[in-house]
Amino acid sequence: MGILAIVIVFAIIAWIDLLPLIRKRSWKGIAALLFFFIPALVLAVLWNYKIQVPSTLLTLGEALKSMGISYKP
Amino acid sequence: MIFKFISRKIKFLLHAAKQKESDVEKEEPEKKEITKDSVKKQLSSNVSNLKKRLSNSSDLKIHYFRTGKDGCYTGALAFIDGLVSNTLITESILRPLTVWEAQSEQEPDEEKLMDGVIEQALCSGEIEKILELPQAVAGCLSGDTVLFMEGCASALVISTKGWDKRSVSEPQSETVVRGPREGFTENLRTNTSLIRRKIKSGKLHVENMKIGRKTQTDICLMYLEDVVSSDVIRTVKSRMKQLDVDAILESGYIEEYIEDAPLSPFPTVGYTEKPDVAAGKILEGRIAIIVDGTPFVLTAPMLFVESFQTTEDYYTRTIYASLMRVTRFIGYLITIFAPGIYISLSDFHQEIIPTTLLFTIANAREGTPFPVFVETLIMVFAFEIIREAGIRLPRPVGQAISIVGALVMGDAAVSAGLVGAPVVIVVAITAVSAFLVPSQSDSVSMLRVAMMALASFTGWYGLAMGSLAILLYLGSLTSFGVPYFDGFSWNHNLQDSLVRMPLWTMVKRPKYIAEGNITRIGKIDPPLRPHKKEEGEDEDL
Amino acid sequence: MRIDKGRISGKQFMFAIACFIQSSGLLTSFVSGVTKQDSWLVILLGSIFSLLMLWVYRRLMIVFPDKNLLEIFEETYGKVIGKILGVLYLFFFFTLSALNLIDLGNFTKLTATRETPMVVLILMCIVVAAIAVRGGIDLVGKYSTAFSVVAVVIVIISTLLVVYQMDFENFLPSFRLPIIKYIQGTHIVTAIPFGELVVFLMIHPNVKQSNKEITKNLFIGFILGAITVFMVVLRDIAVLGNIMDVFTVPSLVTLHLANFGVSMSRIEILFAIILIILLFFKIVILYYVSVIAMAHLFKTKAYKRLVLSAGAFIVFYSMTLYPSGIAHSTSGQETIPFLWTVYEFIIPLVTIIVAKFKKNPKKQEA
Repeated sequence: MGILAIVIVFAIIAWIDLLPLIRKRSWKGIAALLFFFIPALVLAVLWNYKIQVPSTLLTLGEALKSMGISYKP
Repeated sequence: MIFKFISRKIKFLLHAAKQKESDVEKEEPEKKEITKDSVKKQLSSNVSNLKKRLSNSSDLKIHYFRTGKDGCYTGALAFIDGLVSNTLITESILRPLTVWEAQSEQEPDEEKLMDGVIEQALCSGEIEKILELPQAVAGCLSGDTVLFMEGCASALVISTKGWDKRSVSEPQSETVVRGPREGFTENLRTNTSLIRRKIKSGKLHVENMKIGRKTQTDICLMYLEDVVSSDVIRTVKSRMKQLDVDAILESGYIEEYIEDAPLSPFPTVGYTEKPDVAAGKILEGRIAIIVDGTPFVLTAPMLFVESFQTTEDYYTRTIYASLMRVTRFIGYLITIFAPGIYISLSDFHQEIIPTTLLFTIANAREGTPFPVFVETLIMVFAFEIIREAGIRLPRPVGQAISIVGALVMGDAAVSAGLVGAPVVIVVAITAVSAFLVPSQSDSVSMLRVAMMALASFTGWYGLAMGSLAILLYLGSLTSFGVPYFDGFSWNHNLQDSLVRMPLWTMVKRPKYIAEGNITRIGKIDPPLRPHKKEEGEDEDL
Repeated sequence: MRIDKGRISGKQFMFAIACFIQSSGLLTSFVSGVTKQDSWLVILLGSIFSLLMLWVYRRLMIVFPDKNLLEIFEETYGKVIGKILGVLYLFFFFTLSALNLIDLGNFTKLTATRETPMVVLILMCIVVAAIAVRGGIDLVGKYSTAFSVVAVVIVIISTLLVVYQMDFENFLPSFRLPIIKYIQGTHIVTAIPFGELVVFLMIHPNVKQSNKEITKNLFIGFILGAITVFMVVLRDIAVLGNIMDVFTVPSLVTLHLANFGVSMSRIEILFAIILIILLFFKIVILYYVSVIAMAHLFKTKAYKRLVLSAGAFIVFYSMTLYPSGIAHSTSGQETIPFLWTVYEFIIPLVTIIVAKFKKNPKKQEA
């Protein structure tokens, strides 16, 4: 059910945005769109199966803490 | 297999795109089917040609006559019965022709003959000399009479229009308490004359065009040359010239073809049935588009605030007019949001409702089988059915059906326990407020249902998001280049939006719509300012 | 300016800034968790430090009038480093959008719809935000003016409504916390609500304003926003005292205590609505800036086509960021301020210094 919704939503996004870009043959635009479309799709599928993705901010936070740059609680 | 299908689709799209690119540059109009048949010298061939072109219709009448001294010249009149005024033909064409004493010559010069007929014989004001039969056909179809002479390779088209038309009466769709009760009719000339009578300025520009291959509808553009914005008029003209359609039966067709956003629920071209409304809009710099055959005149561009303005506002007192504006605006909000608010209150936020009312609503909802959204949807839909049916009802049956509608939809549904009483009340208020803003009443039904769906989904968050979406959409809508919803900008446009400021403060014409001649009026002393004391006058004691 | 041809006026720019800051009235729990009843002092100090940051931004706007932030980097540091910085800032903008989106989702879940899954709320917000971003900057500029004014009015009204509940003893004890807490608080305030103004450096090429007006718009807008937040915090402390940090959103509790007669017992809904709308506009501005940065990095002008997929990315990225609200606030109080300061203060400061050096040798040569 969730996967179906995700597929439909991303198909709609591709229909609205990707097709005109292909028509105009602007490769840079297509590259930019895919640069975020594909990770979004990946993250969506992962979210649907409830797989935890490591969070960028938490990892950066840990890195800073290990370097000692943080406020103590 | 799927891949083949997808790849084929993509190839087709690319191909279609290429094609679009190649012929988007030039839009050559199709070559019209002009069989260049010119008017011949023989009378009989002209007449039979004409008959053929009018598919041998029985209402095409041909009248042969002789004129000149001793009847030396023969000719024929061709006209379509019903479109012409017989008196005009008799008085202005036949009678003078029969008394015309032109000399017979050896080799009659056809030019001189035709000119003689025009200048000496006929008594009509509008005569046009034509050399090609298609023009004769068009003339016949418009109610003119075509005159052929034996031996002349030209013909005359004489205006003798006279058909049954409705007289100028009060329009049924826009009634007023105070103000003129004239309304446009289906006749183009009457309509232009009605506007001309309101604006007696030489700068009022009237431009004709004929659109529609089969209907050849006459369309008239009227605007004030020194006030209208050149971008807008250029857009309107270019869009209308590009129209190559089969038929224009009503101004609604034109509206759809020239609109900025034809798929949008909000109308970007206004219409009116009253000359004073149209004249008012022309004076502000808009363009009036009059279509022959319909009393509804289009005005372009149209802004969102115009839906809340009626001409009566300008004829009644300032404060009352402002109050009515505010009422209309609140009514508009009610009609869009009331069902949604009811749904979100009774489903999500029962705490907001005062306790006593809460008991009543809970009681009412006790016996009903459906969730609130479905209940409200049923009632709204039932109201739409009643409304639409009410327009189509034949008059004798109307009364009976309205009673059935009221009783069934209202009372019986509640007593049977299908819907709750509060729902009926809410929907009733909603439905009635929709008529406060008649030009938006179509869009309102759709928006209302969308708001209801959003509210039943996520409560007032959905309503907030929905209203933001509508606001943002309105903000990006344009009408012929003019921003549709100039919502929150503090310029002189505000004087006439939510409140109607006194007439002597409305010094400038609306921004974006009017280009030249921005100042409307000369210097006017507001009535409250005391007049200058003259010499020797005593002070007021 | 070359990507989006829209232009907004200086006044709209000012109100957009004000709108941006006012939405932080929601986020006071970040700060109040640290400094409790002295939060007002911290906000004041934070505003003063932010004025310093604003000076740097102003300098950048004057020296590079037609270049957005990424273009400034490319011109000052050369193409390679400029691009790298651009990517870093892209990450920054997207993360900001995602964080604010989570804030909006949490807030709505709290007040409006407890059972709806977060992703639905976020999706609805992003869809409407996409409409706004596709409309270009002038659409956003038009509406932020109105909402900013409405926000001020609502804050004033709500303050007046709770006046009789205020107790100035709630401000005591003052100045009793260790100094490090005040430094932390000021740092948080400067980095999280106020420092995010750096994104306006991406928008300023689209604004019609002269140099003098830049100063006026920037500072008045900021002060307007800061005063609103200050008033909100003052009001909350006066009414609630030092139990403030118990509540996730203190302002709502304050308003709940306001009794406006028998029938209208939930005035806080009004406040919640305007906060949601303000936060929505903040998200729209951040979303817009992210899309423009994306379009700039890929050297394409079709930013409108990138809007939806960027939105999808933001939605699912935001779901991955923090597993719980506690992690969010802890991270916000402890580590994020340092990270953000680099983006908001250090890099712009270094940029303006380097730019000055670049211009001076040229002058000396000529």
